[in-house]
Amino acid sequence: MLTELLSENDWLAFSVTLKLASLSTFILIVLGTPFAWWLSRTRSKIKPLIEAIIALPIVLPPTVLGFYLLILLSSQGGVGQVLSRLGVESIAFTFTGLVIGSVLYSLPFVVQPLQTAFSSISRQSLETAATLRASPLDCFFSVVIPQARMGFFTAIVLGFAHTVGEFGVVLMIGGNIPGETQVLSIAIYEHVEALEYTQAHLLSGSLLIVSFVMLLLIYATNRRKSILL
Amino acid sequence: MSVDIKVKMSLEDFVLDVEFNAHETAVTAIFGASGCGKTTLLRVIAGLEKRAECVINIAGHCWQNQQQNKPTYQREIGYVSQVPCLFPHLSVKQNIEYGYQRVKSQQKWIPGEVIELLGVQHLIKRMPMQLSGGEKQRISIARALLTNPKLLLMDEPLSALDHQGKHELLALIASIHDELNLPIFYVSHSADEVAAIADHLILMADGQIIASGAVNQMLIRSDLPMFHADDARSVIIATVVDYEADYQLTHLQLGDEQIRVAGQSIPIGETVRLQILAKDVSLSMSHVTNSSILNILPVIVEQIIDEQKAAWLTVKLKLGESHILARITRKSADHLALKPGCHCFAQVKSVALLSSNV
Repeated sequence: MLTELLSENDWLAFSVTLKLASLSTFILIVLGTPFAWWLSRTRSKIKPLIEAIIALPIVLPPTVLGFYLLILLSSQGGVGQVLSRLGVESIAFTFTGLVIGSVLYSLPFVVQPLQTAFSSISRQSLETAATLRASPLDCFFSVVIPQARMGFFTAIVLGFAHTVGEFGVVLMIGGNIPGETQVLSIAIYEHVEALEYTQAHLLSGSLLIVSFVMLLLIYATNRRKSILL
Repeated sequence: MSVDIKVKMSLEDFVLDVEFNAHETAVTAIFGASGCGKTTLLRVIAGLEKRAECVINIAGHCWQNQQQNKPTYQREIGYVSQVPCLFPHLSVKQNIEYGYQRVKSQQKWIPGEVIELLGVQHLIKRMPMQLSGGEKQRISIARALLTNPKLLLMDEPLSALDHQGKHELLALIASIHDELNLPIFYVSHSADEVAAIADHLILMADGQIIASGAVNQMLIRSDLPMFHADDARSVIIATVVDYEADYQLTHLQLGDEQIRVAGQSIPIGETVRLQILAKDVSLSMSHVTNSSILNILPVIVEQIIDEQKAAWLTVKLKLGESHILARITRKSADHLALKPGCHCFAQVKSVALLSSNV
């Protein structure tokens, strides 16, 4: 019944969104972990500068970020020119471009929870592991990651949810190619423009529920953890 | 073979500059006031301070010199810190086995034995946050021992414990030392702990070693601050010769004299370490016979130090070949007309039996 109301493009938008959010979250965790670790331990003078840059996507209108990315990634842009010399076509208006945009846009939502979690791990814990013969890498996997697991959980959920919810950046650099770059938030916009309120309701409602459940998970887990401690 | 340490490092207020060697099986106490650099010294030996220039050789292995600097995880140490740091995400058992699983060399110990030695069998299924301070420290000692260390570093391991806990753990550390025969560096600012377990004492102030030597010798040196403190004490070595079952008293031979201590725990023939607090010793010119005090010993006054003109002063007494200290008021000293060379009687109110197998 309900499924008949949604067009093939709507289903494609679902799958693009899911793919985009999963891939972006994965990349964010891989890149964000060492980055957040460095931020949590460094006494470097440039730390505030780096922190401010990472936090920018929180305050900046997504269209601004999208605009600069578009300039940068298009075939005339700096990155685009380098890529085209290497024989790679412009990545603006492609799924790859979308992933790059999402990673930048959701960076603070992954780095900040990780950084907070890492900062709360005492230096004594790390030193104790070293006196017990754990190499730095061993210590990272056996002491840091398990102790920061709540931070990872929060980072994954926030990174994923934030990517699912993005609109402005996608619109600027991804365009609206069904099956390639059209994500749910854009599809909803399209339906509203076309006055297809039933479809807009269906897609919006499902996003609302998914987002709510994810946030509920975070807060419920946090609460259980604080009771345990 | 021995443990050779040479460390130089600039700290905020002074330069840590020490050089010493310790015997391979001895307990070396590093003693001094808070902030004199003793904890930093332990951290340097453990490789936890990056800025230090030092030479560290342990039983023929070099850990650090101008050419090389092994990172902490490659140094065969056991480190027990002031506040035990157990990993909160691991159970007590997993904590105990954390280092053990990472050591490749042949083990002297297996977890079961160490768990039994430290009396923590009943705790291993718990999580660290369910333990008391003393229990946590026991676990951290067990964890350190299971890495098969060549050197055990202990940084005021009893400071977070109550009186009873201190007593129990001190006895435990002494027995660990008896069992393992490994060098222990024991940082402390408590004369009580030092007298109880150290063989050798290094006295530090402002990053320098101001004196070092055997504990019983160091405690009776009038040029060192311990001698003048209210808790001045002496440590003597005696042999168990008899047990008086009727009164439950152990007799100990010290030169020509006998000392009697309550209780029976040590076989005849063993040597033991006794501690006598200076304030538990009073002096009289004649042998008082109608006294409740058991140990009245003939001594010769060797030295009376009265620099501060304070109410109390410390008297160094020769007892056979050993020395004990007495803390008496200056008025009493004048009243008895005490002088070096005087023969008198030391009435020892209490003697603490510290450890066997000296």
